[in-house]
Amino acid sequence: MNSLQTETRHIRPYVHYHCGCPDVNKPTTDLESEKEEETFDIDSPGIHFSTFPISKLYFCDDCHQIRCPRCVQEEIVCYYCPNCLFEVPTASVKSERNRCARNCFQCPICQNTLSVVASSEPQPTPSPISPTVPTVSATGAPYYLSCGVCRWDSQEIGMTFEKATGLALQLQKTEDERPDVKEFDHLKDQFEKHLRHNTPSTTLPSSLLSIPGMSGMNSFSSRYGNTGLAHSQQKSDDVEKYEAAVDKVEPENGLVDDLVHLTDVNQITTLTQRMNQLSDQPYKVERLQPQRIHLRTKRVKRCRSCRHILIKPEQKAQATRFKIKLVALKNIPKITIASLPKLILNQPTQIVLKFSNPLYEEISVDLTQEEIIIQEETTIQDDCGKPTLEKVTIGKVTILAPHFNITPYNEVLEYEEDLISSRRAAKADIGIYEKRGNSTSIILEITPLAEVEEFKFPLLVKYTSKNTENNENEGVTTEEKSSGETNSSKAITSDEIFADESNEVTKTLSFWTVIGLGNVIKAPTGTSGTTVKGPGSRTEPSGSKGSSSRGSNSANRSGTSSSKS
Amino acid sequence: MEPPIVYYHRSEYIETDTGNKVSRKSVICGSQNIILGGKTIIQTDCVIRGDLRRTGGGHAVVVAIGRYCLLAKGSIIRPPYKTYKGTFSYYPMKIGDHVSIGEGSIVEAATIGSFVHIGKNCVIGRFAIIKDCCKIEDNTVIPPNTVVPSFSIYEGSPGVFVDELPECVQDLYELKTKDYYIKFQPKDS
Amino acid sequence: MPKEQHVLNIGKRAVVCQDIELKGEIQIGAGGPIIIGQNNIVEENVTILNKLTRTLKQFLLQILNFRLPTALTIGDDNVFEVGCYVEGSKIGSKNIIEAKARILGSTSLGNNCVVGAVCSTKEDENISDNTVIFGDHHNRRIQTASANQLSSLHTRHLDYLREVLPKFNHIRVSGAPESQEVAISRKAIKQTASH
Repeated sequence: MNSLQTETRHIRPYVHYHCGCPDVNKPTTDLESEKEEETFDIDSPGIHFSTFPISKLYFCDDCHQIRCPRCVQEEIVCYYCPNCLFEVPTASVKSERNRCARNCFQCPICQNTLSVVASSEPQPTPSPISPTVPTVSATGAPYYLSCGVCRWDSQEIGMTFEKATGLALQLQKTEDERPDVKEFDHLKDQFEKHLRHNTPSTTLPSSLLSIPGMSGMNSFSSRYGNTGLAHSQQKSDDVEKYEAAVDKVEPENGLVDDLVHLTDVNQITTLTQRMNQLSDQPYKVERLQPQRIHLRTKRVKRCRSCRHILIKPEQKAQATRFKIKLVALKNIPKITIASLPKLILNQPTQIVLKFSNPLYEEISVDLTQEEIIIQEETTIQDDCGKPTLEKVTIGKVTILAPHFNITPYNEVLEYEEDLISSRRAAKADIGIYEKRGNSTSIILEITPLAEVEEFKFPLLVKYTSKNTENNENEGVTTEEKSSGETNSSKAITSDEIFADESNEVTKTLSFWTVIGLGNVIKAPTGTSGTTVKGPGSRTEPSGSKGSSSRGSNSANRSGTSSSKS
Repeated sequence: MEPPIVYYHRSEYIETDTGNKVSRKSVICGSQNIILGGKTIIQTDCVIRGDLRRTGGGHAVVVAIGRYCLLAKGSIIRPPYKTYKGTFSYYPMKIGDHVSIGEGSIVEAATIGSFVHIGKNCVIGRFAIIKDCCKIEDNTVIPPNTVVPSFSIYEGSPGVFVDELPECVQDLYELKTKDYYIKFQPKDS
Repeated sequence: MPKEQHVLNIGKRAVVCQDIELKGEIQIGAGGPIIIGQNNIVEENVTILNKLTRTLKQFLLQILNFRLPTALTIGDDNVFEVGCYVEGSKIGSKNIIEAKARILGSTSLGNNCVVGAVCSTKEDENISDNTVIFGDHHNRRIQTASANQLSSLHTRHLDYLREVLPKFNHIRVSGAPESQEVAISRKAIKQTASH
């Protein structure tokens, strides 16, 4: 059942937006990128890295461009523990080794969060199996850690606590005494001393310096980077001879013997368990220890081209609001597949795409699209065994209404809930399925000509918005705007913007999308046309979605609760 | 993909003044201790245990559910219990706005924030805290006492952090739950 | 998955001991005898099924021409959490069967075990005392924690339920065929004479 679910998820219909990532793809010349505007290869292997659902995209007001997770820069503004949700000051993040220094621990067995439990009865002395394990108190301290999933508790390794708070601090001493930690600190001291002497002025922004390890990297790169190699080499000679603080860490005694005589797989640790205890990666289960929980971060995201902030979260760890939130969802038309009958080989099928306008001004949309969809297919030649690329025509797509307008977004209309009535208000326009609120639904005719696992086609969307506002907003920096206001007030600098005589400003943006419609099936014998059978009458291959039970565009209103978006 | 309209039998659901739609085929225990914020849908075979209230007087509210929530078929809402200072008690549960709980999921959390999506067949353990803007994938087990911080996607058993949600998730889930409510329509037959 | 039927059927050979709390949708009977001990907590949508009789009984009848008692025996102080599914041949005492956990086939469970949420056992095995089954891969380990602390929670939980449930639900304390009434309230403290 699980595998089937993932399978359906795999070919679930989607609309993905393409981000050209002009800054990531810098090496390509301008000519090529212009060419890309016209043709868009949806079969290129890079497609998965350059197309995203609209929810993952940002919109840079200044560049007037879509930005994807690849073309934003991130800066950490806040560290916090995901369990206790306490903020950790940047200054202490490093010394606390990026982990929570309060009471938050991860179970060594199942990685679940441990809870502190008070033992009601005095504990016997810790078991002798693990003499190297830190024992905070041998005389049965009243608190211990316990896992609610695998029922592991820290008494098993003789770890108990005097107080219920500040557990990490109580363990700090033993942690600091571990040979690997000692050695690392010693090494760090050695090099820090050296680095402090010859670190030139920092070249990285100070915000990056706050990332642990980053400051070291900075000085590292300045030493070995292209700025004066000879100079740095001379400097590096100055490093004093290093002497290890700890002798070689001894391997576990008799480990090999023990491993040879293993009878039960549960006696050794799993890879996950070892990876979670990187310092010594023990093989024996009894040497596993609870680990402090890794911190998480809140990050500012900037446009790579203009360095303007696209996302700025509130500093507090628990706040979910954003001071700046320039997401694509609120700035470019959202396309959803509103109706998708089953695609049957050689049969023209009408699908409905719904375009929603998030802006407060009317936009006009132009759609461009090649009529014949060609897909490269790999076929294996039997005689030589060499795979060859073959171009196969997989289908035809016709847009019945390539030009249409979408009315502006209106908060009042949000509350309009009479869904069933007022259907198909604009019947007059050919190819327009319905207009409602801030959305227009259009009809596309698809004729699949090959049996493919996934029928997908590119669609170039170009939209123009008319802004009747004046340019006076230009001076307002994006930082000062709250996320709610950014929709209406635009800092206008893009050269794609033309002001005509009546203070009207038009802005044009075009972007590619990939629309995936799932698989194409052969026409079942005895049926002709997509509108013949009622719901559920057709046998359904496992991959197809619940949408199969819809006969046609209009029949989808009959509603199948089984299909989910 | 645009979700389809879901029809229900008019006779199966009770619609309250504030627009809550509650299936008659669900089991609502101790309904006087349950608050629904409005426009919340409780579907067939759901169980809400409002009878498991705190020992001693005072706090009467056992389960508080916000606006535009969805308890899909067969989901079970059950307040969490523990012994604290020697007394056993169930403790109230609070669920925010725009929360959808998938089919067959069992929720024994202490708090679920707003804009949370819980998949199908999940088990949310006792006293788990799910903050605002989270997604719990299908078949996930969130162990007791777990804290799920905002903008997280959790998956697996025990559920672990697998990914971050995008910043616009609040808008996304708000649209989704409102859309579902609008498209949840009665039908006579 | 739980049965859709909402009627509490108590079969003739099923034995329900004193002080048992049965709530939610429960089917007892049909398959064969299920003997439930004292102080168990059974939450909503729990299915307890004596499947053994259907397969083994037929087999035994054929071979031995003799009827063996193939009852599913459940000990004392167990917790069956929401939506768990129990077949098995024997369940010991002080076990916790967590939400959506499944005990399958003719498996027998010892004492003080925990079957974690959504975990399941194999079809036919003997699970020894103190076993914990947990996680994605139904991993196992032996727990060291004594059941003392848990048992105090358990008794207090029982006390609470005995006190609170009657306030909100229709209870009828009697012997046999009140199944209709119980089905309406769908959770009940049942006190029937044992044996």
